[in-house]
Amino acid sequence: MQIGTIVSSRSHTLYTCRILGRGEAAEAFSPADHALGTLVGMRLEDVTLVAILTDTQLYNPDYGSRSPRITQPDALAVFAPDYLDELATLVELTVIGSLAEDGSAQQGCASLAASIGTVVSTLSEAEFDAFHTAGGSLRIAYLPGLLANPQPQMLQVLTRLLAVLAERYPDEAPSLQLLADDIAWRTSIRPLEARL
Amino acid sequence: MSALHAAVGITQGPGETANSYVFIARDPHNHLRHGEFVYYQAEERMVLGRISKRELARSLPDNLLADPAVSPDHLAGLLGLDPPPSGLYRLSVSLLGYLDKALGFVNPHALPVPGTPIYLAADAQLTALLSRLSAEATGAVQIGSLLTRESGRVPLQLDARGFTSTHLAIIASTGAGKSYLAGVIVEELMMPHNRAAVLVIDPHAEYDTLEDLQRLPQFAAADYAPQVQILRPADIKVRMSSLEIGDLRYLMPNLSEKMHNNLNRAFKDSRSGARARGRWTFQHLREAITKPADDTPEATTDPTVGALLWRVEALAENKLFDADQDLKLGELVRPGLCTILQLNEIPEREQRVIVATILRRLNQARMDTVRGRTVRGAENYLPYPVFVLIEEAHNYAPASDDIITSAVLKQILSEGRKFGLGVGLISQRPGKLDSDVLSQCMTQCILRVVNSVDQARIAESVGSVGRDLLDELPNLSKGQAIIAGASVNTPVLIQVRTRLTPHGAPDPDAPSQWRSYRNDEPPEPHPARGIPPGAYPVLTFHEDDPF
Repeated sequence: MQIGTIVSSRSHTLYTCRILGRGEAAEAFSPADHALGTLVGMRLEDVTLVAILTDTQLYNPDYGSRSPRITQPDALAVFAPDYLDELATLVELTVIGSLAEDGSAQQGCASLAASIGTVVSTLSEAEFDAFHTAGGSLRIAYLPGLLANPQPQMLQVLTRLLAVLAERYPDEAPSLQLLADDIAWRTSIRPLEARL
Repeated sequence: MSALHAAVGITQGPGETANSYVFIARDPHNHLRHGEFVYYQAEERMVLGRISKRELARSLPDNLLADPAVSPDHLAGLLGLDPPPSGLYRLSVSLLGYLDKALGFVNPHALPVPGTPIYLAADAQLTALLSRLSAEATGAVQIGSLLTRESGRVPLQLDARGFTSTHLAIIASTGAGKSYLAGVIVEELMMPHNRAAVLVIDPHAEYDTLEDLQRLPQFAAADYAPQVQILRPADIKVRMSSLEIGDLRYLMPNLSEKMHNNLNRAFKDSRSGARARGRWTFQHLREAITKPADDTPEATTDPTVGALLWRVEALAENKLFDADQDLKLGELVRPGLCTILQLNEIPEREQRVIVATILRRLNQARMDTVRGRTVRGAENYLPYPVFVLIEEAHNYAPASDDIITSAVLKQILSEGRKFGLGVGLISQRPGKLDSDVLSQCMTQCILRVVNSVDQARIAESVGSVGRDLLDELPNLSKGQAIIAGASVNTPVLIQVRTRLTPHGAPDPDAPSQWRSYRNDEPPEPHPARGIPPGAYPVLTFHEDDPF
C-alpha cells in the first residue's frame, strides 16, 4: 500500500518522503501506517529498499500570512482551496537494507539509491519476515547503524521496533529484551547520570 | 627449529619494559594462557617468550552480557556478526631469547617488529627447550610437567648437576606439597640413571615411606638396587669429640661469664690432650674443669666449677652423646643409598647439634678428600658428592638468630660447590629463613605461598623468578610449583608428578577419624538418669528442661 513518494534526500541513506494527501492515495491509510518506527519499502527496478521512519515534519508554507478567521480548515476550503493542497506531512526515512525479488535480504547500507518520485509503500508481513529472517533466523544487523544516529528520538524509535520484533518473534524475545534494556538504560538513566 | 604451526597472533609493538613486547590475538580456544610460551622467528632462530599479561582488547559491551540466559554469541549473531567474533586479546610477552646449547637462553636484545607473526610453541619444542637434559639422562630429575599444557605433555627435567652443586630451595605454605615434591626429587635421585648419595634431615618422620622404593621395579637395574636406611632417634649417636666449643655452649645455655671462661679453658685442654691420647671425652672435660688453673689454686672449691661440672654431668648422661660411637660417614652416605635421619622426639637444641656436627663432618670430609688430605680407608674419606635435604630449614638457619647450624650451612652454601656438597633447604616460612641462606640456593622450587611476608622474602632473595611469575604464588593449587634457577633453562610453572612411593605426610582427615573412633570401654552409668552399662550415652531433651 503506497503511503507517499520520495521528494528529496540528505544523504545516501536519509530520504524525505511526502505522505500522500487527500485524494492522492489509491487505498486509504491511517496515521498509524506512517508512525515513527514503521518499516517501509521503496520499490526500485528489481529490489526494494527497506527503510525505517525516523522523523516527521509538518509542511505549512503560508502559515501566518492569512487572518486567523480564514485559517480554519473549513474556511480555507472556501477561500483558498489550492493552499490546502500545499500542506504536507513529510517523513524522514533511513534506509536499513534491501530485499531482492528472490527473497534474499541485505541489512545495512544498500548500494542502490532511490530517486525523486520513488514510491514509498508499507511493508507487508511477508516482506517484513523476509527482510528479517532471510538467513533462517532473526537478524537485525541494521541496529548498530541506527544506534549511531544522534537524533534524540532514535532510541525511542528502536525501543518501539524491538517491541514489535519481540511480539513477532517470541523465541527471540529474551535477546531482544536485553537489547531493549540497554537502550532503556541509555534513554532513562544515562541522561540522569550526566546531570546528577 | 622452524615454525610448525599457524600463527596465533600478530605483534603490535614494544611492551611496558625494554624486554617485552605485545601481540594481539583472538585466541578462541583459550590457549594463550598466562605463563604460556610463544615464539617468533628471527632469521633461523626461534626466539622464545613467556606470556606475562593477558588483557581483553575488545569484547561485547557489558550491557549485552547482562542476561546469563542470552548467549553473547547468539546476540552477536542477531546483530549480524556471523560467525560471532571471539574476544580480542592484548598479550604481553617477556622475552626469554633463543637457545644456545653452550650459553642457555640468549637475549637477542631486539624486539619483533610490528606485524611479526607469533606462534605457540609446540609440546616437543618446549620439551627440548625448557629442560637441559632428556629423560633418563644422567642427572635428569623429572619432577613434573608444564602446567599450561595437558598433564605429562611437556615433562620438565631438572638438571641435578645444577642443584647438587649450587643448592636447592623448596618453599611453600603448609599443605602446598613441599615434602611431596621433595619426595619426588629423592625418588628421581635414586633412579638407576642417577644413583645419588642422599641424606634427608627429617624432623617430622615423614620420609620413611621412601623405603618402598627399594621394592619398586622402576628403581631397579641389572647392576643397581637402591637402598634406603632410616635412622631413628635411638640409632643416632654423636661422638663427643665431634662437638665444638660452640656446640657445648649451645647445649648448656645461660652460662655465666666465669663458667664460659672455665669451659673454654677446659675444652682447649681436653682437645690438646686428645691429640696425644686420642679422642676427648666428657671424662677428659670433667678433669680439665676440675684441674686448677695456674692463677686459681682453689679451683676445685669454686662454686662456679661445681655448677659447670653439674651441667657437663647432665650432658654426659644424655644417650645421644657417646665417647666412641658415631654415625660413620661412609655408612651414612654413599651412592645409591638414601639415609633418612629421623629427628622427631629429639629436643630442638639437640637436633641442631646433630645437624651441625653432621654437616661439619661432611663438609670437612669432602674438603679433605678433594684436597687430598685424607686417604682411602680413613674415617673422613668421602670420595663422592653428597646431597643433603633439610626439612624445616628455618629451624637450622633462622633469620632472627645466629645459631650453631647457621655458620656451617652458610659455609657449605658458599663453598659446597667446590667440594661436591649440595644442600636442599625445605621451608614453609621463607620469612623466617636467613635471607643469605635462601639467596645462595640457586635452584628454587616455589609452591603456593600466601603469607605476604614470605612472598616479599622470596621476591628479594630469588632474583631469577620474574615478578609476573611471583604474582602467581597465592594462586597456585596444591602440587603446582614455579621452578627457576640453575637447574632449568628458564623459570616455568609446573604440575608436580605423582610420586611412585606413598606420601609420608598426607593431610589428616580429622572428621573421619572422629567419626570412626569407638571407645571400647563401656561408659559409666549416668548418676542421675541411670543409663545402664553397655549403652552409649544419649542426650535427650525435654520440654521441661531449662534450656
